[in-house]
Amino acid sequence: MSTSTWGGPEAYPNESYPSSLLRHLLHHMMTQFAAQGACIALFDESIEQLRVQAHVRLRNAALAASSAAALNASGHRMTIHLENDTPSPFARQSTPVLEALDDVLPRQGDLFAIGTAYPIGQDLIGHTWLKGEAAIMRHDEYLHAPFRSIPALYTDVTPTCYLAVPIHESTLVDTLQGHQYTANILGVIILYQFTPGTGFQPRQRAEALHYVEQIALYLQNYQLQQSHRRTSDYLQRLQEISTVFPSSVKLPDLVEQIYQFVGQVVDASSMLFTLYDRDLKKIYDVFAINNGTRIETLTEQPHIMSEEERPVWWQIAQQEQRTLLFSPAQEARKADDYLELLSGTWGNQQQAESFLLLPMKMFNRVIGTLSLTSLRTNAYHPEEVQVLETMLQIVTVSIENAKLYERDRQLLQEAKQREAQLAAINSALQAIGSGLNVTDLLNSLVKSVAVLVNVDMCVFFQFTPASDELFTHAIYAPTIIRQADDGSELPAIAVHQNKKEHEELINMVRFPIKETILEQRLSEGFFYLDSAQLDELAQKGGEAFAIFLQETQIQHMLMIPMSYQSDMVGILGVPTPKDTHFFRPKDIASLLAICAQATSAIRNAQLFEQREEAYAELERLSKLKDEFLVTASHELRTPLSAISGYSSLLRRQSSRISAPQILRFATKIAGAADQLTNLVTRMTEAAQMGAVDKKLYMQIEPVHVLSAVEIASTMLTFNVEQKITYAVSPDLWINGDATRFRQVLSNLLENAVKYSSPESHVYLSATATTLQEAAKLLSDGQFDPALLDQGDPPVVLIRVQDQGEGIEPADQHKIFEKFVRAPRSLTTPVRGSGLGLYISRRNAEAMGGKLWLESSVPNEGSTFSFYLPRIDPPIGTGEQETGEHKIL
Amino acid sequence: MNIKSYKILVVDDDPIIRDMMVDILGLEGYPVEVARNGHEALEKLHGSEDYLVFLDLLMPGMNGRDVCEQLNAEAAVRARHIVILMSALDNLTHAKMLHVNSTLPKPFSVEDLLRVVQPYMGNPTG
Repeated sequence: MSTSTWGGPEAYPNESYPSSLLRHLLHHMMTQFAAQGACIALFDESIEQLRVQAHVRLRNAALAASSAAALNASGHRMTIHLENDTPSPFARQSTPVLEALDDVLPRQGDLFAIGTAYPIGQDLIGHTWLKGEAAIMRHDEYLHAPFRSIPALYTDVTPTCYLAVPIHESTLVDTLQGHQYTANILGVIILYQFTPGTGFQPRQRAEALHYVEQIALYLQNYQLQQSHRRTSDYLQRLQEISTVFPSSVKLPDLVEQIYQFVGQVVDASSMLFTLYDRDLKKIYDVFAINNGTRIETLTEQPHIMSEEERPVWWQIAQQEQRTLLFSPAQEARKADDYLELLSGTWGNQQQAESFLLLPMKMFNRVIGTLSLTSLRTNAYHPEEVQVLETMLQIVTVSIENAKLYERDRQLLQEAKQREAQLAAINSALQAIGSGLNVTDLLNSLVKSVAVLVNVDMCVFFQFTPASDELFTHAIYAPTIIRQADDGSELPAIAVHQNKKEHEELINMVRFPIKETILEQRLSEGFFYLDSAQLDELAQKGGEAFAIFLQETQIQHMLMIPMSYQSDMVGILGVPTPKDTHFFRPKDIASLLAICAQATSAIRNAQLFEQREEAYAELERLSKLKDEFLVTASHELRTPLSAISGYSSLLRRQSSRISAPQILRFATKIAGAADQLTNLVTRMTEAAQMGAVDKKLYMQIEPVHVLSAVEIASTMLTFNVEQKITYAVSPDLWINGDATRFRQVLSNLLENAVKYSSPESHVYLSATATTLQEAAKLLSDGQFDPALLDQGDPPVVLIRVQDQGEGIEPADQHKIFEKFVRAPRSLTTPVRGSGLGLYISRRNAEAMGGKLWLESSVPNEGSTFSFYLPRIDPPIGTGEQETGEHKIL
Repeated sequence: MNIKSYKILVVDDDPIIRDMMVDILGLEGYPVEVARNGHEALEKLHGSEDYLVFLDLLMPGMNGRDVCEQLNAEAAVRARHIVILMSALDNLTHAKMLHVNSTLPKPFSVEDLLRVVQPYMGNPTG
């Protein structure tokens, strides 16, 4: 490729006409006026002088002269036919036969040598130009004319006579339009004769002027034709370029098209194509040619600069929005002023002869510029500049259309995406009504949010019931979280474990609210936590949270507090995408909208779960109550049967029975009545105890264990057939309520007796031990280790062992509940209200102890145990007798 | 009607009920024996005596239902005895399925008891 234009315009038609055309024109005029030699000088815009373009002579001047004479005698007038696209306008002429012409070469003489330029007034050509009139001159007149600048004349042929004719620009069109127009001189034609004895007639001056008018028309027509040809050529290219970008613009295609187009229209040794992105406020150099060498990879990796870095460009392109055209090589001051435009991506253009900068305007915006330089002077003529401007206009519209289209499409896509996301969330939220639990709901919330704002993870932090801590309830992080493999025994946060384990693990990630940044910011709609604030939370929170932060590498997190009316529900945590610290406002807006929706759904779900729980509890209680009514009915009917039977017996047999018999029956009636009273009392007592968490009134005092056991055994409300033995050290004292302690003892003894056969034994023991030792007898989960926090206090452990039928494992945990008894069904009766163990346990706990089923083996027996705080014997109580006591 | 000679057997785990029935029936002149549970009852029923049995439905261990089912499995033994099922619950409606001769809900009066006994025992001899 040449260092100049790339496949540029073939010629500069403005400046010259084909020499064949000029020779034809001269030849015909010579024939018309019987001249033997002729030259034509035409105006050269660049130097503003007339330059000789063609100079010819007849090969046989004598023949030509005779031929001319013959033609003149016939009186024929020659007509120049102005025809399009023909280099030979006289071709249709049958006569005259044109003789051969010779070009006069510069070496043949300096008279009107081709290429010679004449300023106005100089020599015969300049003189004719100045006068604007045709003139006939003999050679000797010419040689001594004052306009002659060259004193000596060298020529191979010396003319005898000259006819000089100015070519006036045709004024036909302009006069028709009524313009005041001074006809310009297009050039000058000189005809001459060199055969001695010949000369031009004076009348021929007027004829020549008339004839040359037609030549002028012809020349202008030729120019118009050329211009028309170029214009239609440009139009076609513009049409081509406009069809390249119908709706989408690919930058590489675009610059390629511009590059091709420019090359077809003007000369350009260097080119720079610059775009401005008004969204990003950046200037991009996307295409550059430096002296014919393309700067590669610029379309893929444009040179990006800010307004501040290109102040001159900004001034010219964006603020003044004007076209620049000057010659850096000729106008050094301008070259300095616009140095920024003449350097940079496309190299140094300060030495260029021509520089053109065209802004790409769209309404009042400028989206870029096209800069060109050429090594030729005056390379950019108004006509071509106009064509380039038109091309850029098309390109600009295409780019803007494509941009708008792209933007619309993006907006539409985003809107559709958001709509789909919202619909997905809505359906997730709506699913709550069909029985989703809170955890499922939260899991779908965090997932939906992560997908919506296109982040890797999302977490929902829930408040603990006391509202002093937050813990993770749901987490979505398909790619980030993996199992901790650091060998620590700390919980690993892993997604590939089973669901329940996973939930338990993520629930362990917790951190406090009090005295942290969270406390102050909970009332805000949303806020960000930076890494320092997250670290602070990690330090105050548990180890699991620190591991969580480390595993997930969260640096910056958006927090959205979620509250329903005044109740805080939780906080949604969304880590910001990598490399950014903020979300776009529209993302935050959608997140807030989703959170608002989710909050009420979560609230509903929570209420739903609470109601479900309450309902289940109510149902259980109702079932217990039904069972109780049946049991109570049975229990009450037994003493009632005795009362009813004996009283009717007394009535029936009163005349026949003895006084001792009457007394015995009356005693039985009284006993049954007592039993009935006792039952009713216990039921009342249990009812008064009320809820499990209600505090019972206790009269705490030192109680002697052995005495309490003895009293309790006599309190048994029915005939005891089993042998009851007890081993109680007489120096054991507890701190408790005497009445309630005895109640517990008698209840356990009663149960033992009821559940075992008459031949079996019931065994009661009381021993001094400590809480820690007693706790060992409790099965896992029954003992609260917190009790040992304040040391290891002394306790009295009391066990009641029977040899009864035992309690089915399935029933063992139920027997301490209100109204529940061990029986598997109603056909296996157990005497008692079903309230005894419940009351006993409540009493033991109210005195600071605990009561439990230590062991139970079917058909071998059960052991019920309880402990109470042990104290030293009060001063003044003597040592009492120790030993086994047989009650019955 | 030829009255067969039965002894009365009271089967109940509750001593109050047993004592009361012995008192009532003894004073009326009927021969009465007691059993404290299902096992004791079956032992007596397998003996040579024919009994009018007052069987309590709800007893620990072997209950009244179990006793009935065992008796029904031995037709010859069952045929010798009259079985009256007692219960403090209103659950005697299904007693028919146990093929008992009659039922006696608790609590009952002396008259209620005698009304059940008399068809089988006639007037007491003593």
